[in-house]
Amino acid sequence: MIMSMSWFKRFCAVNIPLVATALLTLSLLSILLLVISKGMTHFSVKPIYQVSHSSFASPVLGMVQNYGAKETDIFWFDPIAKELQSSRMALSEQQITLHQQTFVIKTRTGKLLFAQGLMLDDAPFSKEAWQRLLDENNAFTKQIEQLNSKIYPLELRFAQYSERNIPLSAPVFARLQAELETLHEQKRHLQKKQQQNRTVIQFSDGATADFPVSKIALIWQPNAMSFGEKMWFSMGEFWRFITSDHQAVSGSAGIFPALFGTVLMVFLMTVFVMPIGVLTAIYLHEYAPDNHFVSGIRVIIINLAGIPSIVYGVFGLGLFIMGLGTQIDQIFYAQNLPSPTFGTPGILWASITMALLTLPTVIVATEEGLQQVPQTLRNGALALGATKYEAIRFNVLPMASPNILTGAILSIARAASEVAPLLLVGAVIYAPTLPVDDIFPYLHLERQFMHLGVLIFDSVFHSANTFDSQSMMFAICLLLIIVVLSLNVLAAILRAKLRRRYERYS
Amino acid sequence: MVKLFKSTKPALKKLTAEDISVEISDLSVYFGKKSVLRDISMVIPKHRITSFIGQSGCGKTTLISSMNRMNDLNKNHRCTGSITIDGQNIHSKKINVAKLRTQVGMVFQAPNPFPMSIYDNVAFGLRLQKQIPRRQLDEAVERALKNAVLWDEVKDQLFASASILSGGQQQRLMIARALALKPKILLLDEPTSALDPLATLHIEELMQTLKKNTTIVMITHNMQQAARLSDYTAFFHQGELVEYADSDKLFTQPKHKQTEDYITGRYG
Repeated sequence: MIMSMSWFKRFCAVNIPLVATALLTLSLLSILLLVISKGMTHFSVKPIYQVSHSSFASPVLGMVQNYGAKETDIFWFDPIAKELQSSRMALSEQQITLHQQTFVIKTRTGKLLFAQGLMLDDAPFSKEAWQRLLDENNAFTKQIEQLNSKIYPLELRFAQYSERNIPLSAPVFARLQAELETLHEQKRHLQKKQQQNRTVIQFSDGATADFPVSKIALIWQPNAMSFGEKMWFSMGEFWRFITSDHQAVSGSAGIFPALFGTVLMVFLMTVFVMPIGVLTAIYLHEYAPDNHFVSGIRVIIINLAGIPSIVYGVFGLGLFIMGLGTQIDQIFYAQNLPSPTFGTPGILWASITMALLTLPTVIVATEEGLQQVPQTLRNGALALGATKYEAIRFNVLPMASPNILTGAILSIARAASEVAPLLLVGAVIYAPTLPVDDIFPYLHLERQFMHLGVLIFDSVFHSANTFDSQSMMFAICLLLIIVVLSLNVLAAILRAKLRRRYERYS
Repeated sequence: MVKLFKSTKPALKKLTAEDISVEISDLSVYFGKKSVLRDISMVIPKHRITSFIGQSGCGKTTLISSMNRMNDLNKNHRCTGSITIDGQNIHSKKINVAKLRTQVGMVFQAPNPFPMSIYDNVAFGLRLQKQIPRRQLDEAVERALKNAVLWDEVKDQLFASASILSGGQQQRLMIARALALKPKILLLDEPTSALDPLATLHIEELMQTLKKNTTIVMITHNMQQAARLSDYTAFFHQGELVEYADSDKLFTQPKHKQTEDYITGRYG
């Protein structure tokens, strides 16, 4: 055959698949590289330049993007409004300078201040002095918290006394009041002392302002950092990004709730979809008669995988939230009506909707696995007096488990990356509370949740035009990829283990 | 031919009711429209080895699978006639099929170890019966493995995966697995077809010991094996029982031309 082919045909037969594979690999790699490089810049330390331009009354401090292009984007700190502004202008080399002594101050609310100079307690800034001030401040905060924990039960008792109509003149009342008064006095004293730790910030226009240490989260000098310090700082930024709360107001903030919401939703989805999917596949493959009705069902299940995901979202909204949820509210949560408990989007409905979405994947993968189990194995079990159920439970299912896990991997990957249906059934851009907390019953299935994909969607369309909105979008993309990949790797390792165990029997 | 006179086994027609383990009468089996067995009537004597010989596809496997109702698994299967084991019709509605299969053990042509340890393979049938304490289970597994002449080879690796065993060892494991349930009847479908001479010898010796308290039905394509091992031999041809007699008689003085042709290797 091959000998009779012309050299051109032979060349094509070998090279076209090769080129196709290479192109595919290249495009995958470039997507990954783009997301990684763009996402990493979100955590990088950007230098702060001093920019002089005719549109500024005095030179300002700012970050510069696209320097060297016709128009340069600068995100500059307005010393009068005390806010970051963005402008686009033509800049020449003479107009920007880099000063070593430039400070970036991050407040506890996530706002950034760019400063020319910084004094700590009338002394120039030094790292040791700043660390000492921070420690002191933290000690104060801790003491105030301790006082608060003492004050709270006393105030509760105070409220109980007034409810029981104990006259204010009663001695218990007086004693309580005196006690409270001293505690409050202590607290005020501490707060006053904490406020005394101040920094003096010098802005780019020369003006200075007092700023209490208690409001500062972080200070760094981007222009004076060494490479190692920058790396360390970036890692810190990344850690803060994935562990701290999301603050919708300030824009730049952590995404821990979204990370948590994504993982929890995927977990719940797996809990719902795996038993139902596997049982359905077992019924279809092992028990169902071989007739047109059953093959019809099989065709329908396979085609379910092709339905647009938004349709599932609408379906979930209609059936689960408006139908089922409203019914549950009327029966079990009537005292809360008209404010709904389950009759509103929430993580339970989101994960059930996603479970429906991924059900065909699990069923098809499991059936494939069941098909691969040799019939002789079933017969062996049956010949030893096993019932059909026992043969399936002890022999067939373990052998099919690698394929079942493949189904799980595929469904996890799909559920973690879908956004459209989630917008309808429970994911929100900002949720004030996590679905899991320390209040009974700990897991609050009725709550709305945040999701990485939804945050990306949001940052594309509605984000404030701040300097880091774009890089934040890529950073979230990067994180989403990391989450999906690590869930997949986990399942793949498990599957490889099971495969090794069973491959010699089939 | 000295052996013939020393033999203490009764002729098939002179068997008393106590000596009969399985009685098959007018059994016909169909898969869909295809008739696989036609009007088989025979008795299988208790605590003896009975060999089934015949061409591939003549219905031997179908017949032994009828005895523990493994044919029921085929959806197109249909049968008429009756099989009586120890006086009970196994097609009666009162019969618990799972229970029947624990008493009529079956070893398939190709070893099919379960994906678990050697110990678990042997304990599988017993565990399904529940209510067996751990220590008793250990003893039962050891006894079954010793009976199957496998114990010495696997006693140090009982909890290793069964797939590490060789083909012959796996075949003996399959026998041990069936023996663990102490079946009254053991059905063996070409137990030595894939084994080397030494492993074959092991299994033949094993069958000689087992026959003291188990009825053994064996399918084989090896004439010498059938002649030296079994007490009675049945020859099947295209779904019909052609000749069934004492092995010595069948192999020395076959009554039918077909039998003679087959055992002398003129066809098949």
